[in-house]
Order: sequence, then structure tokens, then C-alpha cells
Amino acid sequence: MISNRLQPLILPPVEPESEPADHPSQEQVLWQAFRLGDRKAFAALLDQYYALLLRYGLRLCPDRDLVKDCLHDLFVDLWNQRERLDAVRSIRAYLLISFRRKLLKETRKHRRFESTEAMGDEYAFDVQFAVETGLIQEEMQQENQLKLRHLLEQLTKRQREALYLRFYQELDYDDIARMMSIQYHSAVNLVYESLRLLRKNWFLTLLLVFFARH
Amino acid sequence: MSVKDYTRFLPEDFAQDPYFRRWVLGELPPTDTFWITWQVRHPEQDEIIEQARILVWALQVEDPAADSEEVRQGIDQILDDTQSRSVLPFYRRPAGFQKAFRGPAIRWAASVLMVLGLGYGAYTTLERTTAPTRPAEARTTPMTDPATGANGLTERVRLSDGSKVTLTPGSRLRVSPDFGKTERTVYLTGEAFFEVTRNPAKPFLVYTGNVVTKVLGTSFRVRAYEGDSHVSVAVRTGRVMVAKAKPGRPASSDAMVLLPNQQALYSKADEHLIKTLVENPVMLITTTETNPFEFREAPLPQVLSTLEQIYGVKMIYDAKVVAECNLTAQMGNEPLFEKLNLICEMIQARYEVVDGQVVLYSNGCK
Repeated sequence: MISNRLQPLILPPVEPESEPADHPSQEQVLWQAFRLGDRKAFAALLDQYYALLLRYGLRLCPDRDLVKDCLHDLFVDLWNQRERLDAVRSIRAYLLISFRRKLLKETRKHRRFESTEAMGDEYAFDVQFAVETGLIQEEMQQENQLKLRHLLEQLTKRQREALYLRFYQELDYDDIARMMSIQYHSAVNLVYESLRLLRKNWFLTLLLVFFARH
Repeated sequence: MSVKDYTRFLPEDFAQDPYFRRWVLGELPPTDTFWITWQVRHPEQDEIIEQARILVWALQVEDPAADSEEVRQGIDQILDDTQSRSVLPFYRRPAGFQKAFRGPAIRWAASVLMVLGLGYGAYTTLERTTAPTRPAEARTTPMTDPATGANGLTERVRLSDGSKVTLTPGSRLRVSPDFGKTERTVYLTGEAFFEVTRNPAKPFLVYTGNVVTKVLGTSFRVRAYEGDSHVSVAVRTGRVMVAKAKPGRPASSDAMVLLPNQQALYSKADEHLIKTLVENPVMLITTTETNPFEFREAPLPQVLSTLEQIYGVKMIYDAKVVAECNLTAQMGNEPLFEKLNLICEMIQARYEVVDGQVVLYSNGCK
């Protein structure tokens, strides 16, 4: 296995949630420095979040150029308005929320002119989970994979997005709710109901095959 | 370790717990035995744990790795554009040809060596579209001219934007009638050294048959001989963007950015443009004080990172696998690939050049 160590942005944050943060969070220090106009902090923000946001944006909108333009404008706007920004709890969540808003606004605007590329009323959120992409082919029996895939097909776009935000972006429910413009309990429900659906329907007949790990 | 009461967790809860997820996905350090201990202490929770593990496994998201070059370009563009106050968002800018080259922040003077194999029908098109309306700015030297070919003299030409072109014998340069209006376009057959005056608003484009090279301000060398099977563009310093020149406009998906010591190869046969390294990468940084290539029991990542910095060539390898590889070696001015061969021999590894980067395959050192 060759891992591309030159793209550390893909790696998840290392601090386990359970460890108490008794020191001021690095994130907040960075954000504060950025708001004070520190170019290095701005560059660090870009380093940490540009690739992540780009990949997220591409899930929302297949037009790569548009996504990149929005991302460009998001950061340019942030820089120009840095003095007026508030402190944030989670930079990642803040950026994801702002970016999502901007991107959806732009796609809507674009769609008016490009009627041929109409995507329907709802935005398309495209995410494939490991079991759907064959990433874990060897860890799971074929029929189990098929079953799980079938179940996943029953999830709505919003459920899939919520799972993605919760698992992959590791957002808390507050942020998921804000991001998807829904109530807190709706965000919880989106995630739990998806998981419950998968578990209840799937584990009943599941033959476990890969538990020799660990 | 944890203040959570995991005994009350359902699989859905475990699956969402970052600490648990990290354990399942093998991202915790091996010294962290919390979950193993927990499992031993709570055998009654085995099934729940197992279900949670499957959920975590099955619902991993496979994010396509973003093209690091694309990301770097985007970031540079933002950094560039936030230096000054008045920035128009892209989507309000006029679309058009420039779209293909959006966003490359080519900020430094650069020198580029281009080796081009031309020699097919495109040439006539060039002739037609680029009547030399400004002979004072760019005279052309016909390939058939025995005088220039024989005396071996180079010819220096100054373009209207201040850019300088040094043409070698037997080369032609044609300047677009629209040179300097929105872009600075020239067409080349043969060999030339360009020193381009920086002007980000008006990209400098060199068309050479099937390949177009774009710079904002740079210096580079172009060589083109008829009958070659491929076109190559090699960068020594700075950054240059290369794309296939399609009739009409080039597609942005074809564009690639070349960094120092990288080279684009365009095969005329299969019309593919690939990124690789130049034959003999040069050191981009020269240190006078100490020999940077002297290693004493140095961890391999440190060695590779030194090469990476000095040659500006990315090294890709699995840091976990090579963690125990230490190297003692004294190297000097030998070519990069010789150094790599030596290293590989010492640790029983091999390497490949992929996409302009060096990928090192190792089974580790024990």
C-alpha cells in the first residue's frame, strides 16, 4: 500500500473526542489569528480545508469549475470580511455550512441559464459508501454486500448526506442541523433512522466473516 | 480514558463515536488498548460491538483524492487574489478561452525547456491564422532558410510586450495578429528561448502543434523538430501550464501544471498528454555550507524529504512501512535517479516515476 503522505488534509483529526480539551483549542487560535489578518493563518486555513471543501462541493455539484469558483470566492470573501467574522466553535463546520450555502445559491443561479442541466428541485448529493464502491469487497461476503447495498438504496438523499456529514466530516448534530437547515432532532433522526434501518434489516440474516481483525 | 458509559451504547451509537471509529479503522496508535480491554471486560457487548464495526466498515466514505496540483493552484489563486482588494468573483467574469486556464497562479519567473516534435498538417493552419502582420516585433526564420541553418546564429526578437525570444537556426515564430489584446499568442516551430514579461491579465500562449503552453510571466526554452514522435515540455524553474490544443478551444480537463523538473510528454500516436520527470532533474536549491546528502543512520523519510526539497520532486511512500529504515550514505552530485537507485539497493526497495512524482515501493526494514 502506498499512502500519499503529501496530502495530509485527507487524514482525519487525531484527537479522540473523549479527550478533554483543557488547553485553548488550536483551531480557535488559528481562527483568531486569521481574523486579525495573519496571512500565515489564512494560508494554514486554506491548507487544511481547501481540499476537503473541494471534495465536499463536488458531491453537491458535478460542475467542477463552478465548485472551484465558489470555493475561491468563499475564501476571498472570508478574507475581505475577516474583521467582521465571529468566533467559531468548529472551523470545519463553519466553512462547510458557508460553502454549502454559497454553492447551492450559485447552482440555482446557474440553472436558470442552463436549462439543459436541470437537476430537479432538490440538489443532488452524491456519496458512495464503501460497501457500494467495492472498497471492502474482501471483508464481506458477496450476498451481504448486495443486501446492504439494496438497503442503502432505500435511503433518501438527505439521509445519505446526514450520514456523510456525521461519519466522514464528523460534525455534531447542531452543525448538521444548521447545515441542512433542519431541526436538531430531525438531524438526529436522519442519522439514527438510517442506521437502524440498515441494522435491523440486515443483521438478522448476516453471516459475519471478518472478525479476525484485532 | 473516557467518561462515556459505553455499556449503554447501541451499535448506532458506537458507529458514530469518533474514538470507536478510529479503533475500527485502525487509526489509533497500537499502544492504545482501550477498546481491546473494554471488549474483554464486557463480553456481553460482543454482538453490539461487532455490528457497530460492520456499520463503520460498510459506511466508510471513499473520497477521491483531490489532485494536489489542482488544490495548490486553487490555493495560490486565492492567496494571490487576496493581496489586493478589488477582486471580481470568477462567476462574474466573462467566460471564454481563458476559462481553460483558470486559476494558475504562475507567479514566478520560470525557465522552461520545451522539446517539440511538430511536423503535421496543423502547420498550415498556423500560417493562415497568423499572418506576420508585425514583422518588426517578430520576424520569422523559415526552416528552409539555408543561411540561418548554416551559420548557426541565434536571433533575438523583442515582442511588443517586452518579452524576448531567442530563436535558434531553422526556427519559426509567428505572432498572432491579436497579440496583446486579451492574450499573447505565438506559434512556434523549431527552437526558441522565451523570456516572458509578467502580465497575469494577458496570458502568454505558445502553440506548438497539438500542445499549448501557457505562462503568465516566465522564461523557457522551446525546441521543435519535425518527425519526432512526441512533444515534450520540460520545466526547470517556476510553473507552466500545458494543455492539448484542440481546434476551437482547449479543454480545461487536459490542462496540466508543470513544476520544476517535471516534464509533459505528448504522444502524437495516442494523443495522450502525461506528466513525468525530466531525464536528469537539477537541484533547485544549492547549499554551500554542508553536503545535504550525507546521511548517518538517518530515517528514510528524512532522506527522502531532503531529496524532495532539493530537487522539488515529490516522493510518495508508505511512512508506516519504511518507519524502521535507516540509512547511512554519502552522496553528492550524482543525478537524482542514481541516488534513488542507491537508496533502493540499500533498503531493498524499488521506485517508479508516476505522474511526475517518485513512488517508492518498500517492504520495510526489519
